[in-house]
Amino acid sequence: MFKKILVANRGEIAIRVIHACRELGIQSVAVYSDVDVHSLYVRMADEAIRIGEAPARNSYLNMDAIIEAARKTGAEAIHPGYGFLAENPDFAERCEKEKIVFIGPSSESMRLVGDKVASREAAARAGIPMTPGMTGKSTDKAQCVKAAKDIGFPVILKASAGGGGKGMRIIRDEKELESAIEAGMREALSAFGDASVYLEKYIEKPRHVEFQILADKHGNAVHLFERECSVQRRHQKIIEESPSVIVDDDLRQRMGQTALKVVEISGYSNAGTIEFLVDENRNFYFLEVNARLQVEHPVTELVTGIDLVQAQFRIAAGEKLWLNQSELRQRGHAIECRIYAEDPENNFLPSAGKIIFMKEPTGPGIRHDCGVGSGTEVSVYYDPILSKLIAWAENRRLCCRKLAEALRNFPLIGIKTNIEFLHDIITHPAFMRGDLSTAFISQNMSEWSSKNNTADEDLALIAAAAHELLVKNKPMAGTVAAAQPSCWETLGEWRIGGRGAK
Amino acid sequence: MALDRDYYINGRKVRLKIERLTDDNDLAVQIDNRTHRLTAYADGDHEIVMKLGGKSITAFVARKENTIAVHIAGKIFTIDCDTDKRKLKRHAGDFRTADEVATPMPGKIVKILAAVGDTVKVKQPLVIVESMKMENEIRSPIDGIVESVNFAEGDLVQPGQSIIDLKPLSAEK
Repeated sequence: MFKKILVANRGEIAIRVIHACRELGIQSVAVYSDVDVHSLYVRMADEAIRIGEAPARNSYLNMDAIIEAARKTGAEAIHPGYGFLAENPDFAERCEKEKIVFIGPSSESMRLVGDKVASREAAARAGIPMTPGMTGKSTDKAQCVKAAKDIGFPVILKASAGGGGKGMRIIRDEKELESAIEAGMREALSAFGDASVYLEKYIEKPRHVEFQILADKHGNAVHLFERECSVQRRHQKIIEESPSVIVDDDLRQRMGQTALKVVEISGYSNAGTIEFLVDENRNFYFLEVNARLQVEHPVTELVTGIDLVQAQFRIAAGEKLWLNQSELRQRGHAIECRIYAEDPENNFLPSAGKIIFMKEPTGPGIRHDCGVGSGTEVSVYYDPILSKLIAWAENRRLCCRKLAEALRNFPLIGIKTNIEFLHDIITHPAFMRGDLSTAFISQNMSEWSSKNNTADEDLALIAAAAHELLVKNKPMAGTVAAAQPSCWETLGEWRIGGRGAK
Repeated sequence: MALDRDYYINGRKVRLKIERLTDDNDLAVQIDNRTHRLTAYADGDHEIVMKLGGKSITAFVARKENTIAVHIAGKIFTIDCDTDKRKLKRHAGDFRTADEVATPMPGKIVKILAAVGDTVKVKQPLVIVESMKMENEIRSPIDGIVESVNFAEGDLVQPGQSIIDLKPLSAEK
């Protein structure tokens, strides 16, 4: 096993990895940008190295600085966390060349699964189910029309060069086909300078179901069952759970086998995730491989009892896989929600500033993976994730209740967060029923706002007044009769062991 | 010990009297014409535990100058202790007064969509601010009337600065 690991990340995931290091008696090295110098994870690590200015490209994406930090501290391995350099094959290759172990897949395998076209082609050759679609992109209208008819409606048209929904169109019948293809090509040309598009089958009300896998460097692999991550906002997952309500034993068996097949054909090792879409008839389609530890890994840890970060270390150190598929079990139910610094009442704009007061929720079955605390300054430079709150219970209904109760008892005052919004999702009848799809937020939560009544407001006013009365503080403006000032307020200037300054 | 003062919550002005009935923690509170009896304990600088109506309720309270943020059961309330708004310091996040329109992060004002005297609805877009290369709509927090517009298009704004001040419609009654 390694003696020292560098964590090339920040916030809650850096803390998660440092925990695993400490438990295994491994020294930890943190890296930080100028704005993160006072962060919790920097204090928690055994050593910390500055790697640059606040913008990520100057620090957390700065390969030279990170490699240099590993050299200087003598770290034998680098854990990339998620985001930043986690899925950058050039960084993985650089580590290989520098003889530093990258805790993740090989650069070669990462390159293959990261190339959407190449990985889909490889998957198709291996007979892995995928959404039916065109084999390549096209700028020929007649070819697109024919492809759409072959695939069968509804189809979705996507810009080949694109992203962010530009040029994307759902086409439900032949009447709108030609005009939609023309408009999509025009939009693609103006947005990306490339008119080529491709068509694939559109899945109505899809669910996002993914499989966690662990694979060693000796050709052995297991899957650790599924996570359902259907509740998303702008393609960003916000609530994840395991097991999924629509996956039964038979489907789980088939999807798990398919996930392991993807691992096999891509030569993948370490922890990874195979993502699928599942339609209303429980057909599943391969989407892509996430070549990293996922944000939502704790739900898998809670239902399987396996520490995924420690497993990553052991696999990276060359250990043979110690788990047998037939002995793995999913126990109970776990749900995670992501706490973001954002304002749900104002278009989810990121909220920057100081956390004046925070108290973490606790209790049986509650886990909180957190990178901040009272006094933390939240900057606008990075992803606004603050923490992840995860609940485990014997079944889904009790798990929802536990998580809702924890969200009610999670004061985080100073910056806007999505905590109340998440609470209202977890307690929404459609969520409690398990009626999920990637359209959940737009269908159920689009008109959301914080609702208060006079009784709630009265309680808040009573608490404010009781606080003024019971907690010694400077009196506020507008106070008619305040408590007696404390001796510290009347004492004047003084100094221990000397005369007070004027 | 007692307090007698005006508070300002969600565009509403209330008169509050609180009195300690005995030497321990029994309190009597009157808010406008509603009365409450409770027992309250302070646990540290931020935590108030209240026994009220057969329930134990924990509130978390934080203060910035004359603005208080109170967390109860997953909701955060912003309370101003001085109803004279000119005397209040501007703040960001949970300490933002309910009747001002502000940006949650630093940015540049691209467009102002309302003028003094306009009647606006809750959630109506009032300002477009560009931050981190993205244009974001800032919406009205309340139903109200535009009292003043404090910035112009092209100006830079910080969280905590009020771009537009509103007069709540509910305060008219």
